[in-house]
Amino acid sequence: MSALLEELRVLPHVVAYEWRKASAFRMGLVSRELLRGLGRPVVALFVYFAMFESSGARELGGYTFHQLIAYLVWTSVIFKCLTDEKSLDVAEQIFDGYITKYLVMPVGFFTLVLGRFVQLTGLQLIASFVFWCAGALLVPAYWPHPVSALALAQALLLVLLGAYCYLLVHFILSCLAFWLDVVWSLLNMFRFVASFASGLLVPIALMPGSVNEALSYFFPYWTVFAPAELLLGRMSGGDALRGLLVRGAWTVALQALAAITWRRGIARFAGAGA
Amino acid sequence: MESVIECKQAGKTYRTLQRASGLVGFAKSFFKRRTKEHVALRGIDLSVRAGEMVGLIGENGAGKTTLVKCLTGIVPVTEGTATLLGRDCAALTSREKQRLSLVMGQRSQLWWDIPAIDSFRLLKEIYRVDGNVFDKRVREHAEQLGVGPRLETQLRQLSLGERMKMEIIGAFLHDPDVVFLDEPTIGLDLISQDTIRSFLRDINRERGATVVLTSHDMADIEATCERLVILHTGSLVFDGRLSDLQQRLVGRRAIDVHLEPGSRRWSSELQSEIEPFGAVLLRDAALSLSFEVPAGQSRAFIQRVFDLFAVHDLAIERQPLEHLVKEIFAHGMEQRS
Repeated sequence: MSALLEELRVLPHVVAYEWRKASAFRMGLVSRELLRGLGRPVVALFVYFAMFESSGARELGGYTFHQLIAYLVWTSVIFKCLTDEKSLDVAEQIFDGYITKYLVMPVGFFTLVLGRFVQLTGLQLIASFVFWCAGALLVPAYWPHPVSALALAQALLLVLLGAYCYLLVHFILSCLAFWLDVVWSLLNMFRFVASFASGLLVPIALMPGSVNEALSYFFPYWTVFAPAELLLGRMSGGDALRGLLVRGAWTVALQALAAITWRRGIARFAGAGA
Repeated sequence: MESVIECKQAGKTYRTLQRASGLVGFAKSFFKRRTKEHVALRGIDLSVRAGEMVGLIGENGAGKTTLVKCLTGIVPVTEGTATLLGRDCAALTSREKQRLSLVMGQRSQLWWDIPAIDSFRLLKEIYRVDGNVFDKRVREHAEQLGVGPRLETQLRQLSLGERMKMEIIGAFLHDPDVVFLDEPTIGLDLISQDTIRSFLRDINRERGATVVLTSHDMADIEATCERLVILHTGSLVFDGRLSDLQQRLVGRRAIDVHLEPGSRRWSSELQSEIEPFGAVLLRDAALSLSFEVPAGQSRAFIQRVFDLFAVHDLAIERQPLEHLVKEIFAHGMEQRS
């Protein structure tokens, strides 16, 4: 218990340290952190436009063009808050032996990773809010608003818990660097699969019902698609509760797997040095 | 005095993957993995008391870094026992880690893109250093190492020497009881090396920290350590006072002979000419030769050297410690003794 309290005591200082690292270069802060994830929706906007124009349809899978744009805005805002392979650098530190220095510190390595996660998520939440405000000011007629404060709170909770699951998956895959030298490709594979399973590429509601049902047992569904649907008013609070249960089970399982992978990896780690 | 490091018959064996060469070999290794056991350390008996400064040397692959990694709990020993501050090294708790520090000359623990002082602030929180004590220590250490004005400069903009000094400040911020320094002067200029050596001496004297220093540079060891541990192919071949080792050199002289152009060159037939004096050829360069000879024979040997070669210049010195250590690396301690 005291060890956990000690880790929690150090955590805010790690977050502050990570803030200083993230803001060391102004252009880096803007391009790497603030503009992060904003290229994809521009491309998706053209794709959706082309789909509606070429088919001449007024509605696709229950989405009007306007609703699809709203979906795009919300998924982009949510996606900004999720950890990616570049933001942690854990695999690189393991592979190059740089974690050696952390192993002799009286604080767990995961606390340092968690500090990076809290900093990144906090910064992305702020950036997402700024992004949303800018859109609301520039194109108020097209810009989506949350259907209710409750839906916003539910969506936020799902996103934050989902972001933690993303962190755990990235941490687990990164820890495979203790054994493998192809972690980068595994992380990329996860990114593509998660993009599909989270509804980031295409809204899951556009997929067949069985696919929709199957994906709802995985956490990416409840991290991007479900919160977006909640904010659009296409999903209810009852669904959000189911999402929390699914997410809870995933969090417990991933946390355990992360601990096992780390422990096993450390046991075979040779460390840095000659 | 309390023993802070204790190894009893400690050993470490790694299992390494063997890859056959060539395309066929590659195909075979792809389907059938072959591993080989590599003994990095064997039978290490070592006891270090609180406040000692121990120099750990050995050629590449001798096991220095592995020993440091075992003692700091980064990797476990596979044979025997190793304890640090009374606890099994593989099971160090945050209480022991709080009293420990590690500087790896080739691995920075400070963040590249921000000033060192920002990294120190995080270390202050991790190691629970009081604010006033932190300010005082950073100021004093930075002054001693001559990097006071550079504390707020981005680490990437510092020279190699300045960065290493920052690493050392970070390592001593929490006043550790045991400090492991793995090649802290690697690649540094002579002035930086000297500053770091004198800092380590001072801190050991004033704070009584136990320091284990690994280095390839004998000058580091001679300038800072009283005790020397030599590893050779994973085994401990010498553990004693540096002065004991130096004592072995008292009766020997190193003679550097600079030859005239056109002088006779060294050849193996000349071996019989120098053997009666107990002399050993240390180095055969273009126009110079280095010998080691018992002090009592040096006068007669020099006369013979003048007979054999056209000597331009000649220098006689007590044999450098480095030569003896080189021989230990090459032949082990027993043969040398």
